[in-house]
Amino acid sequence: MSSTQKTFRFAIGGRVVAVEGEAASMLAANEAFVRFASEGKPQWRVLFDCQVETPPRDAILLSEFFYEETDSRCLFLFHGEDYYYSMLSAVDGRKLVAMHFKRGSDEVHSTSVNDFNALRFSLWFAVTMLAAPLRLTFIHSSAVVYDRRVVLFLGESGTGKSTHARLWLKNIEGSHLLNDDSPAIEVGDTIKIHGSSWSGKTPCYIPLTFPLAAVVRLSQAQHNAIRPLSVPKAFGAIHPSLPPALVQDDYFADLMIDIVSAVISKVPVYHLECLPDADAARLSFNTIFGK
Amino acid sequence: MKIKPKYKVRHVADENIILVQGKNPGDLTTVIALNDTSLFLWNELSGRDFELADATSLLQGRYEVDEVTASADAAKWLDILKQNNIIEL
Repeated sequence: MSSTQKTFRFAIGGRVVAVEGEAASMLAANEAFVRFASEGKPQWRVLFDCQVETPPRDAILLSEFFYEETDSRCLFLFHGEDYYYSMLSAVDGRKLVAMHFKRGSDEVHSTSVNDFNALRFSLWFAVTMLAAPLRLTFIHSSAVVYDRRVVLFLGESGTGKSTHARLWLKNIEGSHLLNDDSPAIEVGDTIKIHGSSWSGKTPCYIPLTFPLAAVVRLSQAQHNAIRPLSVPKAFGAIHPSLPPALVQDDYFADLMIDIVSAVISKVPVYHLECLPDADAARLSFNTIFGK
Repeated sequence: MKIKPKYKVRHVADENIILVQGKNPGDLTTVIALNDTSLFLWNELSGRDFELADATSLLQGRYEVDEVTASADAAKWLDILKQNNIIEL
């Protein structure tokens, strides 16, 4: 791979994303993306080093959020069928990246991006827009595999998803981690969980797919207790873990709701109140796998 | 008053629910489950202007209840929608 490489292809859930422009060489030098490198025919293209129009004045702000990794403010707007995403430095207001996507298109256009973390996050954002119509998206969770099926652990940042996942790896023989932050979820006849190039602070980049066995929402407690959730509660447990910026928009919101509906129709969803201990891992394991 | 048109009832795994999305990323999603009576009122009253009395008489027309009970039930239904900012006045 030369440093002047202008195209890099990687897969997400078997779909190939072609990244074109200078950004390609940054991806080709990064383990998280190299592990998912693909020679397949691209389904989607993300074109960097483009001129990206600024949103019209009457564009509607869907979401504005702070992204710590690049110390920047992200804006997501729409106007008609056009979506605009940009990342602005919180220090000097400089634009780190700006992207444009037209609904129904298989391409995202982006300005050049120099910072790897800005590239990494904006590419994640681009993929969420491209993949949503296939009922394929990212779910903020730790994904553990046991007996070739996946359990997803969900929770707000800091509730101990990763900690609980690690307790499985340590205490449940035969379990292994698939992804620690942002696996992809795909809804069809079955619910599939795909490893991805985005795994938070844990470098766990495994290009494999497994069916989903169960979803567990965690909260910290002074005791260990698990219970199955009713349909409305299960909905409320999963929905906030899908890409938050997208659910503010009607078009994407409907696609995200389809995904949650399919999940709760097909697999059990639990709430686990837990301590960070081995008993908590055994309790959730025994409940899900009936051992 | 009116039910805000952006809210839809969704049929998920044999339940009828309304999703109320927080304004900011990371806000929790509120899910309201509708029983048969609530769903009946929702279907009858969405898309038009109505008052508490309209909901009351709908309940009286469908169930054998006196006006006081029907009005109390209708008010309860309306309160939940108002609390979740689903009603525009």
